[in-house]
Amino acid sequence: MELPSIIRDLGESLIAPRQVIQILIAERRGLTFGFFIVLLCSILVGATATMVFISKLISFVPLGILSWIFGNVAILFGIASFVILSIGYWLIGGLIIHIFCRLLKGNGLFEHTLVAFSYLWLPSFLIGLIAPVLMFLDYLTSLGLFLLMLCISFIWGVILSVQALAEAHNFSVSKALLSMIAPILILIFIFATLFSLKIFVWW
Amino acid sequence: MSKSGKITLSDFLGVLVVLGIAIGILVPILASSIMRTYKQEALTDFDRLMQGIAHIPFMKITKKLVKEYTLNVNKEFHAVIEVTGGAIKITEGHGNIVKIRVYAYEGMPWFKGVDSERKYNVYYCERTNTLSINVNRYSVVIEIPSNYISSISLSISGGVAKIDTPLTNLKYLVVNVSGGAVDLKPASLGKVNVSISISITGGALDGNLEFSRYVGESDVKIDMSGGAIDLDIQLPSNVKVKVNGEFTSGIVSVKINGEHVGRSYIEDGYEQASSKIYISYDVHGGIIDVGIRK
Repeated sequence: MELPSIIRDLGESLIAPRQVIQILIAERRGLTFGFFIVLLCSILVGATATMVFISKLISFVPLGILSWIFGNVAILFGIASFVILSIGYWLIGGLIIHIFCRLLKGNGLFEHTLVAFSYLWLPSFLIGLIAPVLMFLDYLTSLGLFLLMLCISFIWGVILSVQALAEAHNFSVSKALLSMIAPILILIFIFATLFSLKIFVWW
Repeated sequence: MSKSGKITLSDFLGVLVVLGIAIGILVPILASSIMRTYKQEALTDFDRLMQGIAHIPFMKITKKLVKEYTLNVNKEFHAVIEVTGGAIKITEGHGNIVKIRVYAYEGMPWFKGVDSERKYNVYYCERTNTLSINVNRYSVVIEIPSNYISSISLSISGGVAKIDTPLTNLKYLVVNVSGGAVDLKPASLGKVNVSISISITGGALDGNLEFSRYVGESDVKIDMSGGAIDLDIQLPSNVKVKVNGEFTSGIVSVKINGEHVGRSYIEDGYEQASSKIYISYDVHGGIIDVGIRK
């Protein structure tokens, strides 16, 4: 019995993202692949984060049926929020990254940038693997472990995305890294400006 | 799997990714069902709710012992207590020793309050045999020997006060409530004639005055212009009761053994009785429920 090619693609993306993105671009199925990665991983992170941050807190407060309602509403709300934010960030962040890639003489299409950027979400499967452990740990330990795994998966995701982006646009890894961190730098710049103009007051 | 049938690293990682995604989505949903089972033990019980809140990380409220006093007191001991915030509890002590423990709340700022506003003052005057305590945003526990205390004067404008001890030699109990809550549970009252005066303009008082057998006349006087009182008075069967009340507004309910009595009530044989109690009230607002049981 042979495993479906999608499973092999997922596995190979974690160790050889350059090869996989070439195949995905050539077979013109990269966008579907990227969309489902972002969708499923954002559901995963949303559900697990809600379990760790909200559901465990609610369980301390014995409100009976209200706890059940709050718990389930929180899970639904958490998943919906993460999906909307993730897909929004994937599209808008992808657009900004693509603009920077083009500015840095990249020759890939916007579609290719989105596929490469979706690799950022892929290592979050690690959080899914430890979800059963998080469920039984106490609040603070589960919170710490969740945040640690989130950091690890984010760093791993950035590494994969940068490599895929370099391959998709045919430029160096350093240019790909610069394009990747551009949206974050822009966000920091915007917020710093708003704070310095006292449009937001932090209290 | 490669064409040779061997499992490659890519296959293994691919399976891990799929498993991770599936577990990461399913487990939180299943976890919510398990937590639900745990939570169904209690509905909206306030005590359990507060206990639950106290266990929430970052909201945990603890008490830390700040100071402890041990005083040797004489008979006919007096206590003057003023509470403007925080809590005070009077419990049973032993011998002629009064023990006072002052605790500070540790927890979130909105619970423990501003440090500069927290204060307590404990002073014992040997000459008058009087203990004076002022409390604001501290928790004070006082152990008082039941046969030494002669009078208690309690003023509360905020926070909580609780008296939960036998007071066998108590002659005077004066309680002034303008805010906060008082839980009055003195037992073994009336070995000597006792005079209890309750004045309330706000807040709440929940009391259970338990009298033991005595000879003479005790009295309970209630002045009320706001707040709420729920007072139960337990009397020995031989004690005769007289009730006299005035009220201009508010809600008043006085019952003897479950039966309502009017503003004025004198039990047969009251004047000649060797053991009697006179209960008077003057209500100008608020809610009062007095239940007398023999």
